[in-house]
Amino acid sequence: MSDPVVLSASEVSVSFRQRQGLFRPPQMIPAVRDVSFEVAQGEVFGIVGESGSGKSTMAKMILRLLRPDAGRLTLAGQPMATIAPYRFARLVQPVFQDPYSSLNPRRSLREIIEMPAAVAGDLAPAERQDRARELFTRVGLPMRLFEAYPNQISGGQRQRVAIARALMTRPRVLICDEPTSALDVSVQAQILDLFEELRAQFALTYVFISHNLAVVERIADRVGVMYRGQMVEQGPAQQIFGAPSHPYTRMLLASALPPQPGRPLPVINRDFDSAPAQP
Amino acid sequence: MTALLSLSGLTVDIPVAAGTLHALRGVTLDVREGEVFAIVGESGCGKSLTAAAILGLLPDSATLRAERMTWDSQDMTRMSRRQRMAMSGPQISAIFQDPLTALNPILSVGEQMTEGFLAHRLGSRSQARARAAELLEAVGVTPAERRMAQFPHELSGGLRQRVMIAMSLMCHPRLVVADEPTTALDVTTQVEILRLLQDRQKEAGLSLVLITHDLGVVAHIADRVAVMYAGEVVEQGSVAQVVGSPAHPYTRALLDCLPDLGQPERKLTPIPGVVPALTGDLTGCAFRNRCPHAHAACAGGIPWHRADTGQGYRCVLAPTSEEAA
Amino acid sequence: MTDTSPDRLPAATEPTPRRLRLRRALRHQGVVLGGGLIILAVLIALFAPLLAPADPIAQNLTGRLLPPVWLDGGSTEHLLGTDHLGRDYLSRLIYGTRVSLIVGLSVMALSGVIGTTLGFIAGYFGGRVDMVVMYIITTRLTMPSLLIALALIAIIGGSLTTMILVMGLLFWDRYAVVVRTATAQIVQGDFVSAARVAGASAPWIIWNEIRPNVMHHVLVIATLEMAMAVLSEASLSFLGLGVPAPTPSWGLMIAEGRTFLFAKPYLVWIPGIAIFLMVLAINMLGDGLRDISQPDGRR
Repeated sequence: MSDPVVLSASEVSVSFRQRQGLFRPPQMIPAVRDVSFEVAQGEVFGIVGESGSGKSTMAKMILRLLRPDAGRLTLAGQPMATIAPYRFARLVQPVFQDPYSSLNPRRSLREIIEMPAAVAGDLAPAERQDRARELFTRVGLPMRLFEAYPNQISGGQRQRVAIARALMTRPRVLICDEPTSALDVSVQAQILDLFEELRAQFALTYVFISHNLAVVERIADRVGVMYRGQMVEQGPAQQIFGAPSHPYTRMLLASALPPQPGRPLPVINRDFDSAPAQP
Repeated sequence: MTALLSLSGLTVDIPVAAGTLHALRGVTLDVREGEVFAIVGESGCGKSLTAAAILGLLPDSATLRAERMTWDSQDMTRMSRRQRMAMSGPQISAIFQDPLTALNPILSVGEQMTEGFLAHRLGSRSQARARAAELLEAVGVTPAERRMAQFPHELSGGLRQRVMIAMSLMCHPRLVVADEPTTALDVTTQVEILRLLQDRQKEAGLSLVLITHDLGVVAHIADRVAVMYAGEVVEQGSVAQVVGSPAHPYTRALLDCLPDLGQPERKLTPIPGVVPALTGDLTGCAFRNRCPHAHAACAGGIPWHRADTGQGYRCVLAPTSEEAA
Repeated sequence: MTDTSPDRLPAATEPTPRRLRLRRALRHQGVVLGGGLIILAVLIALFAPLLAPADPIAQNLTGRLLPPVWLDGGSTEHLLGTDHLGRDYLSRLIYGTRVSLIVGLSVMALSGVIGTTLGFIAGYFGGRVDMVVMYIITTRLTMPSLLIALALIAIIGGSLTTMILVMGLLFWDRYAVVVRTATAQIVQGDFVSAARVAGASAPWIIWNEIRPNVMHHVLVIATLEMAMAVLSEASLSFLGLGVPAPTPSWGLMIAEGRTFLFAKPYLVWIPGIAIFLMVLAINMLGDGLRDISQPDGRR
């Protein structure tokens, strides 16, 4: 691929300390181990995996909400840790899973969308509001809701507000952590459409994290599969979904339940996994 | 086929700040002996409230009316609270979405599993423990003896749901109502739990009411299904009929917006608009503001079409006008 | 879409949170009654020179211990009679509102600033910072506050300023504990993460994202602390450790009237009722505010 790399991770690891009681030393639980990948400008990089696989922890590190213990993260060719906060905000923005906790309940939708610009203070209030208004309509919200509060709108509408907020700084990369998982399927389809449109219009790069394989297959150009903190397989979407090489990926793909009647439940084969699956 | 549970014209109203919420608006369905009956729909459609009505777990402020609500030909609306209590366990039991809140955090697995069995005086303490151990082994919570001494927080999500399933079977119920039993689980665990549920259901010959938003789950384990929208059943029939050749525009729309693994090129058609508010008077078809086929007649009375095959749906569209989609 | 008649959006039915709270407030008896009484007290305090019929500290030794108007010997010249130095009792009561409110509001504000700041810092940063702040809070909680206030004022000497400072520096514990817990929970919200990614500093996030979500807790505690401060002022003044003698304070009035408790009981119960009403009004407002800030608005 000729497009320049916009985001890269190289052997990134992080552990969480777990207290074992007052006097025993805390135990280090590895959450992400030696994960490496590169995301080219304009592509959608999907990360799939089950809960506890480390995919959300990876998102936190890319957003600088968590510092890796080891490894290198770079953004636009620069080591991530050295980027100044406001410049960082103009490179990367998040869209989170929970449409309820991602919007401040005491702020109007206008204030929520303006927030990143208000923090940076780089736009005059009128200009800021113009941009917020433009994004508000762009994500498909009716202007009569501009001064409304989060409690007055539905989950799908909230997620649109979160997307508008993320676009406020005109970022190059959106980190989407399970952005449609809390939504009903009819709304999910709307939001996926919106992601596709915005990608083309704003020349966005996505890191799209989801446990929903069908959604990732649809939106991603390349996919990484995470399992127990490691990226066990990565490659072009057609290859991962069409000819997976890692047994875990095969098992994951086998457990999808398509809405077609008359098929038996798939057989889950955890044989490749020598360690016990559950505590 | 005898109906074990029969609901007809079930209506539930709940008072809210803005007036009265017509949460269920004439739900009609039959659950037969030994079948897996799925109730599917999006959030707010009333599927969980239907489960709550069956289990007698409606909020106190709710008012329930029904043309018919019978359990094994007995009128459930005339039962006293005591009679309903006596039913829960030996007749009807439940599996909930979040086993962590459904299980008592301060009782060990063994204690809470045997509690209902002993309360219903189905046997001695040692018999209760033996049955609990047998069921835990059957659902793969092993070694059963050690697991019974553990507390819910010591188990993973998948194991907790297995415990819930084992617990729901303790008193040999005839009907298990499972409300989104696999929604909180990983996809691989979901398949294992569904298989377990299916195996237990077949083996014990019990009926299962499965509440879910996932048509994929429905397609794989249900015999019959009711699709709910805005407090009503809009389509009902065998899974092959409803999921295989849906008749109601909403069921079709739901399938059209579901991403399907292996078919990334298929165009998804999102359903425009939002679900109408269920307060105040609602007339006509509740889906008409989002329906591609809506026309003037949709604001009037909506007939219930019933085919000879048993598939039925609520729409003004005649059965023949179905597109070749 | 041809027919959109059932398209009732949720937005049409739900009012904004701010308007919802205002509407609930105006429907709540406690808020209306308590708030009304406090507004009345503030007006009395502000316009005391206009309202008081006489100078509250002007002595008139020939007209001592005159009874109020409704008792034998009372006159309309002194509606509530005079005290043992012949000062007009109504005027002293009116001016006493000033002391009571100044102490109540100042202590509430001073302790509020200290407590909420500590609570925000502990809750936002967590970890070691939280441990240190919790240590300070627990240390403070082990001290009997009124006893320490008494001792300190006895050493420094009583005045309005010392009283406010001593109480303000002591009564912040409840603010700190509640704000810390609320903040620690709100910080988990994704909207705080979004602000962090936008490059917002900790003070910016605390002020703009967290503060609006804990203010209703702070308001409820503020009323509790104000009532506590009003009572403490009365107690300290009663013990002669509060405002110095000629200044009219309700606590001081009770202390001075105490000598005549059996002959002239009204000298005690008139300022007693004033204190009672003030504290009752503040508590009613506080209870009301807690009710209306509940998410479902239930009583």
